[in-house]
Amino acid sequence: MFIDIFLFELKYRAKRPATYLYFLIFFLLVFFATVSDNVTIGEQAGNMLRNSPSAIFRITAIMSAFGVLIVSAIMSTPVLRDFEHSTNHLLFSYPMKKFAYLAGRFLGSYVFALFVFLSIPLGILIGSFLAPAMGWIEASRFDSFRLMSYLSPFLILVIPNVFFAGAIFFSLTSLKRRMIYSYLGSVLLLVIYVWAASQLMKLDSKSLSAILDPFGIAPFSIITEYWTPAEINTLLVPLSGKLLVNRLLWVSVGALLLGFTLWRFRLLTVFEKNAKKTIKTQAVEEPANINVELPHVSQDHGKKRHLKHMFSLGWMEFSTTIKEVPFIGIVVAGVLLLLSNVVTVGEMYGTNTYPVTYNLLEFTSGNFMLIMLIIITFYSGEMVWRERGYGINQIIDTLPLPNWLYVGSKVWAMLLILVLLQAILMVVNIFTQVYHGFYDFNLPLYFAKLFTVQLPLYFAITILAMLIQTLAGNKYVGHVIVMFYYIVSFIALGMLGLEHYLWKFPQTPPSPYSDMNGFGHFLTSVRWYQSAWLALLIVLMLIMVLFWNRGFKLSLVNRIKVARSQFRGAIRTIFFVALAGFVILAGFIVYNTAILNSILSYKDFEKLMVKYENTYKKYQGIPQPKVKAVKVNVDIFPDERDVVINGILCLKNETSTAIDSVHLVLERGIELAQCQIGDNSQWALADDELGYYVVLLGSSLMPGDSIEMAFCTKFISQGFINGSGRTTVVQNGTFITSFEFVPSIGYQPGNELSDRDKRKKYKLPEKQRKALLNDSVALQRTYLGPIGDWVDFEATVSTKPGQIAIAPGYLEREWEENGRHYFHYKMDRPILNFYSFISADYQALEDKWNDVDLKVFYHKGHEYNIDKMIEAMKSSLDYFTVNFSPFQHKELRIIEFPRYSTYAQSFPTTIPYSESIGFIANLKDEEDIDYVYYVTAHEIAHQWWAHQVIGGDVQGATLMSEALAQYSALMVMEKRYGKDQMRKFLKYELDKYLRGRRSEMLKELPLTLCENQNYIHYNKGSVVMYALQDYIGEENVNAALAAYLSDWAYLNPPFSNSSDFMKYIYSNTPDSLNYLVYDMFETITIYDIKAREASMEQLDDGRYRVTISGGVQKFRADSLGFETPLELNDWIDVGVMTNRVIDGKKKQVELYLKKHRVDNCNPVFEIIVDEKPVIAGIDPYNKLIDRHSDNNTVKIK
Amino acid sequence: MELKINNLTKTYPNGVVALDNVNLNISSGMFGLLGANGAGKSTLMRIIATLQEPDTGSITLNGIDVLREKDKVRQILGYLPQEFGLYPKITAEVLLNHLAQLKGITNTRERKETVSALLQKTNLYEHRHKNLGGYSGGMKQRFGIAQALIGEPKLIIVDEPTAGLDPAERNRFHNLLGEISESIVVILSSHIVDDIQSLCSQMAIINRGVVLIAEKPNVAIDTIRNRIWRKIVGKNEMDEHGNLNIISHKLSGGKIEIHVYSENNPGNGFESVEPVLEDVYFSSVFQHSQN
Repeated sequence: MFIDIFLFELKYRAKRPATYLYFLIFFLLVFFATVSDNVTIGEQAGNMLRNSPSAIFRITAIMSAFGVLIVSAIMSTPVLRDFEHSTNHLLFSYPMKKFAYLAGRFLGSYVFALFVFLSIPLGILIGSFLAPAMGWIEASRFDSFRLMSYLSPFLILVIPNVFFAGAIFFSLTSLKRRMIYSYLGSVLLLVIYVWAASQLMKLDSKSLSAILDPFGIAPFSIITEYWTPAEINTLLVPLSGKLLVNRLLWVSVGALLLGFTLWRFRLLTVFEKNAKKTIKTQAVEEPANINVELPHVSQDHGKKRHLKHMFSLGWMEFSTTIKEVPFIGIVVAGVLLLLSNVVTVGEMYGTNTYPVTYNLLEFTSGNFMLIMLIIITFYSGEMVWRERGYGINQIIDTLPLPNWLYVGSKVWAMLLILVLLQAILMVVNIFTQVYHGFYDFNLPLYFAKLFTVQLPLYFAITILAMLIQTLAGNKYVGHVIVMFYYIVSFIALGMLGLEHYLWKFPQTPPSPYSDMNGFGHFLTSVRWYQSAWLALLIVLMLIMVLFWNRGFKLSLVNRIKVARSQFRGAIRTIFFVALAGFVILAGFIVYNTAILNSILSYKDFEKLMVKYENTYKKYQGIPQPKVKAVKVNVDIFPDERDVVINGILCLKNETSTAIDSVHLVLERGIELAQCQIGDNSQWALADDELGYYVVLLGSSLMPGDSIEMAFCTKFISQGFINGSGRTTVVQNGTFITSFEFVPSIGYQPGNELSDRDKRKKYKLPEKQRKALLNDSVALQRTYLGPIGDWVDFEATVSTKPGQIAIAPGYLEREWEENGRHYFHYKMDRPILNFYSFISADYQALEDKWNDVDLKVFYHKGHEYNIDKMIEAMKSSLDYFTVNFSPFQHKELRIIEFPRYSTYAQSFPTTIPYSESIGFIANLKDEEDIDYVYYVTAHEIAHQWWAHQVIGGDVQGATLMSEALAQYSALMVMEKRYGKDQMRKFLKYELDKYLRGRRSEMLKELPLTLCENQNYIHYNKGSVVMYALQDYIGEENVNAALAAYLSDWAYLNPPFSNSSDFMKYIYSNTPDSLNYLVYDMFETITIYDIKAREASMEQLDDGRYRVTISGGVQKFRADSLGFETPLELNDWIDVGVMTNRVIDGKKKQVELYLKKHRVDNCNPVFEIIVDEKPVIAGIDPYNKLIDRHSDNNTVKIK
Repeated sequence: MELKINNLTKTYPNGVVALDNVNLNISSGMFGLLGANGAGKSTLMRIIATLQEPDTGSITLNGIDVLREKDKVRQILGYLPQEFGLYPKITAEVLLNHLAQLKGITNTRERKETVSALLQKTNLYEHRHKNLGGYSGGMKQRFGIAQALIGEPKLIIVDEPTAGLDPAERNRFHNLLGEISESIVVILSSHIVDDIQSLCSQMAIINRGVVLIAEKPNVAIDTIRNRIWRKIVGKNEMDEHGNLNIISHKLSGGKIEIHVYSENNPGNGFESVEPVLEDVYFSSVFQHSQN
């Protein structure tokens, strides 16, 4: 019996075209992800093979998570279809065992669902063979075929995932007998999945998410989070630890559910509950008064009535829908998802920002989008097919009402649903703000973002989904097409290089909100696109009206016939008017985006970079003069978003040959309106497309001679642009740099294409990221590139009245003239040839440190942390002047700029500081890491590390800027917040370093050879520099840094490299620790330290003897992460701690912390302490780089 | 009222000819459509009810082009489909009231009276506050009838209306239809011959898409008077009569009663019977299949 049912189920499935459609969709997705650079599923770092065990595992995991929708489609129907087609009346009367029926149906469908998921390994496998063979992707990016790479994810992920998800859907639909419960189930699973993914970045809660993530992605991510490229490419993901627990948990959930279903399921066609009711009411039945006269009625078939009906029908559909359990379920799931993240907002180093409206809204509406899309997808189908679902369609369809009324009412109902959901989102956000004690609700922003930006987008997707449903002629086919549409619109368009938003209906360009600049210029283009889409939507809605499924199983030919016959009168007129409207609006958009402004796709940019390199690389290194002085007049027009710069650069020939022409490079999009160098110079080349210019001098510039270059650059905004446009020039918060607006002298290699694979694709020679350590030519320039070095600087900046304009230097004069606000800045000593101009409506907080003026220019309303900034400025200046060298300027300014970029950057005397990385940080809790203090101190440290001494343009140069700035900031922070906070902070740094290695694009290098790699010079830099001062002493480190400064500060070329610098470190390090400096700075050295056991005994004198045993291993890693073990002879911290209550808080206190020499891999330590200890550890504070930082301490038994 | 159907043809994509050049003139009163399952009755009714498109042909109702001016037809149409469902979570009264609204009865008082009267006439008044999900098959069918009668329709199309009704309800429904059908067109399909005979002033027999007979029932019966012969035979005697035009046979007390169409007495123990509509039906279907 069971076998028969099972086989029947298989045969039934085998005939369903949908099964093969699912297979095909999955196959294609995975296939393209394997063979194309434009489709990525999961991460794709440069060093990872595309079919490495981890890559296959990840793709399988992600696909099986989203495959839950397909599982839901397959596993919901085996029992449900008997109810839907009423075959249950027949079947259930047969002598059939419940178990055989349920098990047969379940297993039959399960086997078929597994078949669909075979498309994943198959897609990768075929892609891995085809891509190199066809030359799509280089063979070196692929591993040879290894069966286990494919088999293991299928066994570990697919089989359990499909089982338990299938069990959930099977049970829900068998017991509840409605498809929509299955949707609810899939939403819940996806919500848990999204929640788990959002927890991964948090150091505290990631373990929980690893166990609860239904699809196994979180435990996989945690297991492999610190894997090096070498490990990723070779190791199979082990089924152990959290992954095993996770798998067991979810398989048990599935098994329990199936058991429950088996127990509860009844082979009955009617629920007993209903049957009873019917009997009861039948008892009171009485014959009716059938002789009653039917009254005469008047009927109104006027058009006015129709509109009223449309709204009332829509309201009825709306109110029925929102009362349905599954709808409520989906919404509740969405709200729970939002609330699960309510505690953290804009987290950085574990510290939240204030829940300001824009920040919260961007985060939550991103999460909520999933819920919105699910509701749109499913309920568009429900809405279009509702009458048919209930079987009342033949009655409804014969009502004397026009098609547009039905369409209109359903559209109206969906619109109301969307409004309701957005309102719910808003309420949850406001609740979150109240929860955080934040009452500055930005209601206009809520309205603008939720209802005028997002709602139109959702509404348009809804119309599209409903139209697809209408044309598809079947709800399930409709769902699949809609999902396919999502995939296509998110992936395929980018693949084809169709980046113009006109291809991306119904999307609009982004509209980021900043407290400083509001929506800025972004909304203009959004509104134009929205208008165009609205016109198009009217057309689509009319098509929906024409093709509305009215009547009985119309064939396509007949539907077209009907549609054509209805295409007349008002419908026809409106159709053409809307179509014309769309064409005109689209034309206007094209005019603005493609004619007034140029439109370049990502690929176009690549090609331009290639062309730039191919055309002008030959000029690299030719003798060129160097900028010695800068004098510029900058006119900023915030309202118009224009900038005009007239300037004079003083150029000097410091080479030994005469120079007859000057080469200039300027960013694309900035117009070089004029350029005169000396007398009688003329253009030899003006290539606006690539931003390359050559000016022929009137007479050659002899060695040692100088000449003045007068130039004018312009950026004039016109119309609106596809995308964000230039976000550096805005209404309030313009922040431009010389890189962007002032021509550089000579060929700039920084503008070349850098991605290794892309260079190969375009047949460019392989490129070194940085010149080698001792490259004497590269050492002639700073690591900022061939832009010159020390210059005299003077600038007059004008802006509109009401705004303050700022440039490096001291304000000499400020005046108003011709309706403009002028500021004249002058620097009293040479600075690096890199400067910025800023203009916004600022408040200023002023203070003084000794004779240095301190200022914070901030946006009104962002007062939260400006005192902290001043404090950090003062303590930084204190520490740096005492320990390093005097401060070279008389003024220091922090200047807030809009959040379009999220960094702070140090220019001489001025530190532009993004509004999103400190101004709204919530530092109320003293326990939280004060990253405002950290960022401020870091940027101020750059006044020394970069602006006093700067490395040459070779490997390792950022060690002397970024790593030293990290160290300086850590010291300032430690003085203020103590060692505990440093440990917390360094945990994040260690984590970021270890993650960073994983996604290295090319090769990991030691600090001294670092090639501008953030995870090395910032994160490893922090860890290593902190450890260094712990091992050799803070005063020795500072002495080394001070000596380096005094020898190298403000020097002309050649500039120092990291081996120059390391000499100072070595000379301040005792010989016994030279190994450590070498390990940390000049190699990649990784420890694996763990404390295994600790026990204690009380001695006669009342003290305690603690015995700690542990394991220590040390490895040297190569650039891909292949490790070789090293001999041990290292000094490592051993610590014993106890808990004490200090100020009402339980705190860990050291009883003992000393460095011990460790020379074997299973060391045992005996330590005597005065007090009863609780915890013991080996390198308990993770000073050394350790991939398992959480097992260094144990509880003492 | 007059409904004219001219040369109506409909072939389904799978090749089934549902309607083959159908011509009918239907005037006020009840019109019965008689035919086996799959004969094309429902297709014809759906086409008249604006729910389906024929391949060719035309239909006019008092000058209204039914195939083009669907909205005008819908304004005067009452339709009860053969199979239908109802919103389960809504009461009969609410749904009926809603449908009345949609049918254009804007006056609240009139609408209330109509709804109430219809519920009483279909014997659902007691159950008006009950959700439709809890309705039995018969109650559901009665609700279907009630909704078809909303708003004084001039054209009522009811497809197998008495299916699932108990005999008492069936009589009540017949009376109801008789009452209102005087000045309007009511098209009723059934495969229960007695229904048609007792109710309809006109009728048509349709088989495999072809209209075989379109007549008043008694006229149709007259055409075969004295041509139907009956004999009771044993179960194994059937073959002996293979050369006769056996139009029907049915079990009768353990033996088989066969009816034969013949212009003359076939003898051999056959006796003449007074024909009923059923004999008209069977003989016409028989003749059609002979051709």
